[in-house]
Amino acid sequence: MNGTRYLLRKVSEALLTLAFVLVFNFFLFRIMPSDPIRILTRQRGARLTAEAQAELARELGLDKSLPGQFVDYLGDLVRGNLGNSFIYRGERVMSVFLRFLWPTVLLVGTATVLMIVIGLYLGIRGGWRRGSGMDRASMGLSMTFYSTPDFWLAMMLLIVFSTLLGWFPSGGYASPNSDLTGMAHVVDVLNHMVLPVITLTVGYVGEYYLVMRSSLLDVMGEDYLTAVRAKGIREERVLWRHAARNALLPSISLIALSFGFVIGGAITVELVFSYPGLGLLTVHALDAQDYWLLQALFLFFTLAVLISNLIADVLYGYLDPRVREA
Amino acid sequence: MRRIVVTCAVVAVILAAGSAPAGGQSATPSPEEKVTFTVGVTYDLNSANPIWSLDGNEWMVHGLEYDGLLRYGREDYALEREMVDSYETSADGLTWTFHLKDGLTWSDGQPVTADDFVWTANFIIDNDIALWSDGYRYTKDIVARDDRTIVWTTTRPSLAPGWPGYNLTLPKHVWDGMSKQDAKDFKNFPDPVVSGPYRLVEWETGEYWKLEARDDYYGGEPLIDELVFRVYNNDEAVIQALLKGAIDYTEVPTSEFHERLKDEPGIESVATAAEGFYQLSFNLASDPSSTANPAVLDPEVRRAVDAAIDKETLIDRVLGGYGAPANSPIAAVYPFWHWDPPPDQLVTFDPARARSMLDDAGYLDSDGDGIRELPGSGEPLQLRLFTSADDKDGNDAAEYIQSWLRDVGIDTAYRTMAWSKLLNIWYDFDWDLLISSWSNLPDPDWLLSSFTTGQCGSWSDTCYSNPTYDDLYAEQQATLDRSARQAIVFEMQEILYRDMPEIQLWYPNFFEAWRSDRWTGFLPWPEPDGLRFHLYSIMNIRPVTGVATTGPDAGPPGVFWIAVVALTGLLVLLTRVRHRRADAYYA
Repeated sequence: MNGTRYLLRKVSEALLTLAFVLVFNFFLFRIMPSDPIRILTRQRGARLTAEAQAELARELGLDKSLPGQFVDYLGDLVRGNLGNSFIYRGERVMSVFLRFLWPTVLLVGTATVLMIVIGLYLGIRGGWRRGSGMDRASMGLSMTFYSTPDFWLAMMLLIVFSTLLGWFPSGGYASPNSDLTGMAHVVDVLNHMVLPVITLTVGYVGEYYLVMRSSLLDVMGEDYLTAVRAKGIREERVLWRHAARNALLPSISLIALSFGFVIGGAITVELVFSYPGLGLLTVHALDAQDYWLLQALFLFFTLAVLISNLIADVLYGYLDPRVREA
Repeated sequence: MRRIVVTCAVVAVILAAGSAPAGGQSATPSPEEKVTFTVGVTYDLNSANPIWSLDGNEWMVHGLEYDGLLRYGREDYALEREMVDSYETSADGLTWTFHLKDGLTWSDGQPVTADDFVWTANFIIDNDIALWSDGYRYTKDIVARDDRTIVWTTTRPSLAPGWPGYNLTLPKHVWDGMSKQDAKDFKNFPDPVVSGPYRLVEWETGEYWKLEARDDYYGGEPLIDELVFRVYNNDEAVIQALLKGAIDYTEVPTSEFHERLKDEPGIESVATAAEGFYQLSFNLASDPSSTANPAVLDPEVRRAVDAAIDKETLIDRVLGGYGAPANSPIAAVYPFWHWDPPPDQLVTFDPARARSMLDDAGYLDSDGDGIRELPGSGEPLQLRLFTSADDKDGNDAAEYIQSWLRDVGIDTAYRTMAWSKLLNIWYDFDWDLLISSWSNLPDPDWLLSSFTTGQCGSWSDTCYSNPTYDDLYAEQQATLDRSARQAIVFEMQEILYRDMPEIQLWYPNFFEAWRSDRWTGFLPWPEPDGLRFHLYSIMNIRPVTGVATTGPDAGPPGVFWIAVVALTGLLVLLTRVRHRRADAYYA
């Protein structure tokens, strides 16, 4: 019974946040100075006459008052219509979003899985043998990379492994060549992922490492471990079956949250490696003040974070009954 | 455990097989292989529909896909024939007659006829497609006399029918029957039907687009079979790609990059004369909401500001020497239209003269604080100077200008801000001085229009208004004789120089770089040091003997992925073994 109430409370909280974000998104981008048409008018090579500007404003509904636009926006939202993108003229916002979604999920998703697996493993090992050579090495390296700006790390990797050594491509999702199909295409995509995935993984592994290591240290002094050891169980099993499992709790919520941020993309890394993901799309949409695309992007980012938060809460409640009772 | 080993082996073999063609690309392609030229760009292609073209890269693509009646010549931008054999204008300047070349075809084999042109023109006029309607102003009617003759009549003499890029010819058999909305929503991809030398055949948003040469193009098949534009999203990455050889050409964003590239072996980086200019604008808006300091409305103050600015120093210090001093909005790269002030009118850098000009105009420093006061009100002569935060050259220049103005007794409050915010201040007339830049088109009409009264709130930077200038603008537009028009255009520039709604600071160089170890045949447009990458070059660039295509930009050899899979397998195996051992002891 308690469980259902807990779940209901969490879901209604999420829905409230969502409603707030829907309203907030509309005004957030419109209080930015200027508007998409002004920006376009002064763009190099653009040739927008005053009549063309007026026509565009009419088509986009920008000639209406802000409350009028807001009513249109809510009406469209109810009908499930997110509108057309301004940058990608005539294209539905939804289809633009879906096109940039897959590269981001592939890139940031892969990197997130890798950083979690490596971070947790190192955190468990490091915590278990605190102060050992491996612990100090993982701590030093992961903290160094964690504090390195990722665009700088990305640029160094690009210069060394692409320009100088020529091992990896200079950027993009795949080669500009549609002749590559089947396995050749898969390998081509993998090749393009290597440097950005390394940048992200190496750059953020420290986060998981630190959380895992400290929560393992917390449980290491617990009495039940002494009891387990007293039963004569081998260290390796004490670690994996008893210590690590209980220490995983804080990491679980961190992991659930991380997946919520996956679709937000990785703006700086996507920029350096010219990777056509949602991070890059956000930058382009901001540059051009594409309100419609921005609204949709932020709506999806919010949704992803809300859902993963919800999953984290539920999972936490499931794994740790104390949370449910509270 | 055997399952892991087998899985790893299978994956490794598949990956190795997949990477063979990518990794093992031959360095010297055989003659029948396609000649591919790759351009690195830092912007995306957002639309392939010519009636919806908004920015430079879209114009580039549809310029390659759709030929015009006329085009700007390579020598000095004089009009040349493209799709027409000949054309003439009637003595009264009201009728233009164009005769299409024989043998023009669309890429689907259909002939290009006068009817296609007439249909497109009427479609744009009838539907009031604002992006293009400007090119058809004053049109009375446009008719096809026969398959190859277009007769364009205007209500008053007009140059507009002769302007390349201002009118369009679309295949009627593809577009006919569409509504205005249909036409705007039309993707024009895949399989566009085009009249020009290239067709867009591949287009991955955010990644690249590829144009393929037409082997049945009436102007002869281009030397480059495939023209690829690869999107890089930052300046450093595109320069790295050029150094690596993953691309063959790119625009070079700044003089610093140019300095780095110009001594690289195998790369040629050139500073080309730019068509645009940098300017210091004055807020002359008569709008009641304008907050301009009344001093900027005084032409004597504006001329004094000009005399206080040392343009040569700006070019040396801000641009590293890559630029030329400017006195007119029409750059020297357009020698036919460019006007230079005669020596007796030329305002040169002379702070003493600037001071005496301000003294004479009644702006005196009566309280001895080093800042002059406005005559009458006694308010200090303080001007707000704005720049865009991402405009490095503009910001550097602003600091010099601020100190020079201080020298002559004008105080400036200098602020830099995001471009979008600057635009707001600009269009709300909430400023005094503003530094920005413009690019230009080969015909001076467009740039001259931006100084007309009607452009306030749109293209006009200053809301400058001068009825004589406006009349001359209309007159030059109706003057079909090139040298008669030149005289009017000169007079307009002279007026601008006298009234000085803005001070042109410099004509910046533009930088371009390419792999000179692979390609040759870049032509300046116009001669002698204009832009190097445009249609004329594209039709003339060819591989240096023995090297015929963009270098490989593939990944590592297959062995890399075999190693990755093997290593992962090994790690998993080791962990398993450890766990099993642990379990065994427990049991």
